Amino acid sequence: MERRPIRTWDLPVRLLHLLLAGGVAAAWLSSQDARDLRVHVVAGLLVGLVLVLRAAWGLWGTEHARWAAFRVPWRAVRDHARGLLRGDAPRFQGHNPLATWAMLGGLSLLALVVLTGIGVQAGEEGTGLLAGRLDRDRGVALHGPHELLAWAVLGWLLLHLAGVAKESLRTAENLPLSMVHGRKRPEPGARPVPARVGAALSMLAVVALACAGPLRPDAEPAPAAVAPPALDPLYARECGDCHEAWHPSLLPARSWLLLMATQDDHFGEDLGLAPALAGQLQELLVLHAAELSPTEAAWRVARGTPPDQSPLRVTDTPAWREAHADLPEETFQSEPVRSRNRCEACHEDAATGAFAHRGIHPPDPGLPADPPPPEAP
Amino acid sequence: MKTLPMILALALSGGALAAGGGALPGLLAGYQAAGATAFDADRGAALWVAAQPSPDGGPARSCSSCHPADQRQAGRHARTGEPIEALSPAVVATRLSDPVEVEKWLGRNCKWTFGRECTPQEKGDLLSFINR
Ligand code: HEC
Ligand code: HEC
Ligand code: HEC
Repeated sequence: MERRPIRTWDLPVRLLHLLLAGGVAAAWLSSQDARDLRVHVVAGLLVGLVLVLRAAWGLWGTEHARWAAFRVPWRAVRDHARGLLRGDAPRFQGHNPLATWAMLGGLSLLALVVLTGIGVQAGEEGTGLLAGRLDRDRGVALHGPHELLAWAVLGWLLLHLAGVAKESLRTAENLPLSMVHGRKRPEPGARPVPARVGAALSMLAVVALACAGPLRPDAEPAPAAVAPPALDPLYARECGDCHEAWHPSLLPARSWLLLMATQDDHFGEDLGLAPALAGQLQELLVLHAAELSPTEAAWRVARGTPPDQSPLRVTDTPAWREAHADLPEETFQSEPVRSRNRCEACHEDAATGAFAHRGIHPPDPGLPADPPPPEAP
Repeated sequence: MKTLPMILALALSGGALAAGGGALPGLLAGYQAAGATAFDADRGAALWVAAQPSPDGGPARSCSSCHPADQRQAGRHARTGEPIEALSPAVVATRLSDPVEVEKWLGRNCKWTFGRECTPQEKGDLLSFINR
């Protein structure tokens, strides 16, 4: 009997496995910080693309990669599990029945994570494949399920690793390595599968093209749905002398009405605006108020502020508090910022009202206010 | 052939000079019509830095809370930290060029600093100081 390892996993299977692992890891690492959202989206779409390629390879791939090999009845899974407990489960050339079901479960979970992710992106950011096609509230409602599914993937991953370790020990074979070089010890009668280098190269080309084109991290489309309209310069001139001219989309219309009605006691200042000018400003403010603005920031303000409240400060809205809950107080007190309402110090696009993830650059509170002078040579 | 650019440069700088502080003569005439006598930039300078107790117990207030004692220097809003360009028309050419703008800010700033409107005499003295 020939005991030399034979090729069991063709090259496309191994390549897709590697890309999938990389994509999932990148998606996890970029999921914590809103500023990494672009990376997160790219990683998620990469996972989605790999799943599609893998599904296709199930139709045209070699023996152990085919969907046909995945058609394993529940009875076989149960028998294999019992065998494992008893210690007399047989070895398989491809996946064992338990592993087959685990594969199907993991791939389905990942597909669901990707799909819900695209929905969340459409709802919260107004970008991506479903942009404009999915109702905002529905998209946002998917955020919870998306996270839950992602945790399920993490749990599944632990089981997957445990299964691989157990099977490696049980069959005295380095299975992680076999997913790299593709070879496994042959069962009686098993035949090596072809490598399929051409198919693997084609897949690599598809992924590379996608990464160079639609998936490129800096290729962020700015659909009209998220681009706030340019403001009348009158507003910046009249309301931007004592402080930055906060974008009107940061407060509900009722807040602006209250603010303009109390302009003679504006946080202790008498603005003394002539009635005609005050009317003009009020119209501008209400026209671009949170309820009527397309950005995510505006939408959160409009939705998160209880209808019986008219906060006069942007920093008093529940949306603002929630977005900044994780920031330490020192970040706001540090020199270039000095106050929580100096949005421009941390958000490069504050004046436009966009407040995109990519535009967030909070100064490091650990740094001295002024950089030390360069040392004399 | 060299005269054309020179004429252009002269015309431009002349225009800028006329714009900086351009609103002053009209404003001062208006204050005098409202009862003020001759204006004194030194009196204005003294009023500029005269500290007023703050009604809310905060630090004492003066015009120099936000604009520095030297009207040729840029300042910073005492409450918000927003940078403010120098008020002197010799430094920032658009200053004291629009009477409505000047009256608006005098109205706001006198109320916040002194808790009342400035008299025409005080306004004239302060503007004379700023223009010095
Ligand atoms: C004369 C100076 C002045 C002008 C002009 C002015 N404000 Fe203010 N505004 C202030 C001060 C002072 C505060 C309080 C700032 C603080 O506590 O940090 C303030 C606070 C605000 C806040 C609350 C900011 C926050 O979230 O903390 C809003 C909103 C605001 N102003 C809107 C306006 C609008 C709209 C206009 C134009 C109609 C305007 N302001 C013009 C002085 C001014
Ligand atoms: C000290 C720096 C700092 C200041 C000042 C600041 N922010 Fe932020 N802001 C941040 C950071 C950092 C985040 C991202 C927080 C996170 O994701 O955990 C953020 C998040 C946000 C978000 C949500 C962005 C997103 O999609 O995740 C909005 C909207 C926002 N800020 C608006 C404002 C407004 C309006 C102001 C001024 C009233 C302001 N911020 C002032 C640092 C700042
Ligand atoms: C609380 C801060 C603050 C104080 C105190 C203050 N100012 Fe101002 N002042 C401002 C701001 C802000 C502007 C508008 C800045 C700009 O146009 O760049 C301004 C503008 C002006 C202008 C308009 C100049 C022009 O033509 O553009 C005049 C005049 C002026 N201030 C005079 C005074 C006088 C006189 C006092 C003292 C009674 C005073 N200010 C006190 C904040 C202040």
